[in-house]
Amino acid sequence: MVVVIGGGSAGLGVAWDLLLRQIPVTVVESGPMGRGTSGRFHGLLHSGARYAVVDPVSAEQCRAENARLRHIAPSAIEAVEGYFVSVDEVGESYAQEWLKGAAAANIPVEEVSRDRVLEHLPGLTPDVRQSFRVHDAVLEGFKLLEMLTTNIRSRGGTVLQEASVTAVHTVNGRVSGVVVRADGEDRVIPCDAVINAGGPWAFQVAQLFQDHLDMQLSSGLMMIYANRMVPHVVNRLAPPGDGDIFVPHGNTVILGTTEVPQNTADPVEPTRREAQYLQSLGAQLFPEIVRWRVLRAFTGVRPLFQGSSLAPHSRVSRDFTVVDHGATVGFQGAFSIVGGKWTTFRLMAERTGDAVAAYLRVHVPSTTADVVLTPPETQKRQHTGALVCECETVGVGDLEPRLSEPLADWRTRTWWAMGPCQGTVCAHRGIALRIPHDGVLAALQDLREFRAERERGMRPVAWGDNARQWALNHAVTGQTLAEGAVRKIGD
Amino acid sequence: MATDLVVVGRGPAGLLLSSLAVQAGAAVSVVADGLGTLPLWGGQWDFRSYDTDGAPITDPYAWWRAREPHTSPPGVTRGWLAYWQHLAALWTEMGIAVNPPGPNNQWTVTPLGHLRPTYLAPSWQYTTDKPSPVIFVGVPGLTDFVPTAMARVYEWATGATAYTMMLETPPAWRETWNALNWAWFLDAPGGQEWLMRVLRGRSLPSEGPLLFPQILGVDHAQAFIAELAKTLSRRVAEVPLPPVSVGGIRVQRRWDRWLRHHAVPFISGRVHRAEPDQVVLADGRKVTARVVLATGGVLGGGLLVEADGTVRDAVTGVAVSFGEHDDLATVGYLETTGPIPVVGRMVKGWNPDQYGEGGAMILSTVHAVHQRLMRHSLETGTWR
Ligand SMILES: Cc1cc2nc3c(=O)[nH]c(=O)nc-3n(C[C@H](O)[C@H](O)[C@H](O)COP(=O)(O)OP(=O)(O)OC[C@H]3O[C@@H](n4cnc5c(N)ncnc54)[C@H](O)[C@@H]3O)c2cc1C
Ligand SMILES: Cc1cc2nc3c(=O)[nH]c(=O)nc-3n(C[C@H](O)[C@H](O)[C@H](O)COP(=O)(O)OP(=O)(O)OC[C@H]3O[C@@H](n4cnc5c(N)ncnc54)[C@H](O)[C@@H]3O)c2cc1C
Repeated sequence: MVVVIGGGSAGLGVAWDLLLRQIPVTVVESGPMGRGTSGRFHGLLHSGARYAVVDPVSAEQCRAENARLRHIAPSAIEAVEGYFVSVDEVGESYAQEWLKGAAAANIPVEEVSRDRVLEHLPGLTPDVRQSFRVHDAVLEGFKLLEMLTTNIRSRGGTVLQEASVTAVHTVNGRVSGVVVRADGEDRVIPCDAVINAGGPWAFQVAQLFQDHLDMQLSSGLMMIYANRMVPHVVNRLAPPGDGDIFVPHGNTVILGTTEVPQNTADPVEPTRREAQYLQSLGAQLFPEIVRWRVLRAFTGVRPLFQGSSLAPHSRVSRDFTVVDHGATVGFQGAFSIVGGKWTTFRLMAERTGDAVAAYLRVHVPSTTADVVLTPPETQKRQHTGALVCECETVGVGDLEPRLSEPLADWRTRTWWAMGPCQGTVCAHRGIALRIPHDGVLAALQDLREFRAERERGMRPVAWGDNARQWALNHAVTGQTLAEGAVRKIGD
Repeated sequence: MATDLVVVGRGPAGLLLSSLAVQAGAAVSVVADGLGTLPLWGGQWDFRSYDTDGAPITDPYAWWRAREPHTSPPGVTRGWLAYWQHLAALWTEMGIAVNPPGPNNQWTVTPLGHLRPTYLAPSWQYTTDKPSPVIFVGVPGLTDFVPTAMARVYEWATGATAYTMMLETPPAWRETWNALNWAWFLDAPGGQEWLMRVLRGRSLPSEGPLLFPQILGVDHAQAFIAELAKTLSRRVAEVPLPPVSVGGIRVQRRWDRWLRHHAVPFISGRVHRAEPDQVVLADGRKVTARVVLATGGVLGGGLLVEADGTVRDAVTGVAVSFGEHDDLATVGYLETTGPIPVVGRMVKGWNPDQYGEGGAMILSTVHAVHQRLMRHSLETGTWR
């Protein structure tokens, strides 16, 4: 038995990899699905072109994995086109170097005429000078996380949510079990090896192995705009920097990102000033962005591995590292997987799986590159029954089969309350469905947490039409629903 | 046509100010680019529902009396009872039956089955001074009103029993029906007969009023509710729902009609510029008269929030402060006494969402401005 700590892309990926090698696994995830960076990323399935100059290793990995993921998880990938456009001299002069890097990494690049690109990308700045088409696409992270979870379960693996690993036991210097805390209770899961896939929390998890991981955490801000104003992935052709990528996602488009060093693993609340800064960068590609309707802002934390401590932030590799804590501090059977990208999660899992399988003396090679993941039944949206969420057309029939899932999963799996109104008119409807199942107190507590979570993303970008949405949200929740004063009469 | 006063905005604040001015003999025009917030809520007017800790307030008069010296504008709170009585009388005249204003807040039920205070509500809405057993009557497909869930919350919150009943659907029903579709259906004789028939065929629990979602008609709701109550020989009332809200639409329609009867023209359009004596619409039209802005703050469209956090008056372009703690909920003008007076949600410092004081905010600011206009007209013999 192998225990995987962390149920993000890395953890679920490696669990899947080991299961296919006939090694039993249990994934322990401390939050709901996508609590970590895997649920707070930009949604880009990289072609590798972004790293063609600055990070050739990642560029090559992304190119290869991009093709593999299209093969093994087509339903989680939206095959839009990707463009790199230069809009100034800096970009134009960078283009030569960039084309060379792309060629070296075998990344297909096709030049597109100015007329054509303006036709495909309405609203793109007329300052566009050169543009190239690449194989960037959209990676639907939550869909793929759920797909991995259901595939792991259907092959006999276990995925625990809302459960944390708090200690690791050893016998004779070898891992023998982990302590898992859930609902305030501890239990021991015996195991032969443990894998730390804690993302930005990996340095904390490594302390359970008495090892020290030197990580370089940085926060990235993203902003969601309504109406899918950009139908394809658009990158600014320039050395990678802030606010230079647009990724369409469902009915929206997401602009990102920034890179602000931080010390804690938890994502920080975005600020109005940062949001304004990010939008001003986006305006260099799409000047009309100031008139688009922004919905919310959110941040994610990059779990990058320090490597050389002298590297400047933006130059830290997107490459990943597998650490064998038996080799570093003599803690046999403990491994960490740190760094990387969503795009390369399968490769990260394969390499980690190789190391763990070797430790367990299981001589079965990885097959994740070939085994196609089965989309779960529930991902076929029914749109049936009375409508609960108008923005995303989620019906009672979509939610009722999921009554035992945490509320957060309703959002990320059905897109309930994710649309322009951000739950203003549908959150209480969802909660009403849950009350008979969860009880009054738990359901109302969920509602409170849900509102606080939506608020964190709306407030920093409450301007223009979104400020009015924010005000309507407050009027409905505070006045009509009187959620601010939920207590028993007479208390 | 000569106009004494032009009110920009037809939300509750603009409607009330227009009514007061009409009653004082002024010729009033209303200019607005939208219906305002009434269609978004049930039409219950709150006085002050919660204290600063979120605890419900029983006696709102006492609450305001204790704070009167600090409230702005000074002195207006002395008139509270008169303001509420005026509103109740005005509504009665418009055909909105209303329980007379009493000394205390009443309880009303939320769409999740919880109780909250309110002060003055049209009598179609369920209010009570003491929670007691109730019957929640739901209709299929209306996810805003789920009787089984509401009953659980109601019993948890009050300790009183809540019974539930689900009705069937009429032949005309479609899965896409929302509260307003139901309300128009039940506004017509066919719909009313259908509901009567369904209810007569049901055996009801022995105790408690029948509480429906707010869907029992639009223009004829009051008479229909009375008829239902008579036939079933028990109290019948409604719970207001989130937008689009039928109760507010009923109030709005009656109020609009009353103002039109009093020769008030509604000019539809967006005001681009305003001076104390004139507004200019986006299409160039001008209305010359004494101007009051009842433009509704951030939600109403009277205040525009820019990306950097600057908040501007949409009409005058003036930047107003952003409140003390960066608080978008309470942003607005400090006073009602500027060169162009503002009323309603344009005034700073009120927080109806947190404290349940929306009705008080409207009454206080509208009467303050009305009194100022009256004084001026008495002194000068003109409204300008
Ligand atoms: C702003 C931003 C944008 C990005 N955009 C892209 C992109 O467009 N394309 C791309 O390919 N990549 C992108 N990435 C990178 C990619 O998202 C991450 O590399 C990847 O999601 C990391 O996955 P992970 O599984 O390592 O970490 P996580 O997803 O963070 O998973 C770690 C999990 O471990 C859990 N955990 C921690 N401690 C414990 C414990 N003690 N017990 C149990 N569970 C624990 C956490 O709850 C968490 O869910 C982006 C990253 C950022 C920050
Ligand atoms: C969801 C919700 C629930 C509520 N619940 C309650 C409650 O339970 N109890 C209670 O007492 N109160 C309630 N209220 C009322 C609230 O507390 C406020 O009192 C009310 O919304 C403020 O009304 P107003 O007249 O100031 O502005 P609004 O109703 O917003 O009216 C603004 C008007 O100005 C017009 N306008 C704006 N700018 C321009 C322009 N440039 N040119 C032309 N016209 C313009 C708009 O078209 C509109 O007609 C609720 C409000 C909402 C939205």
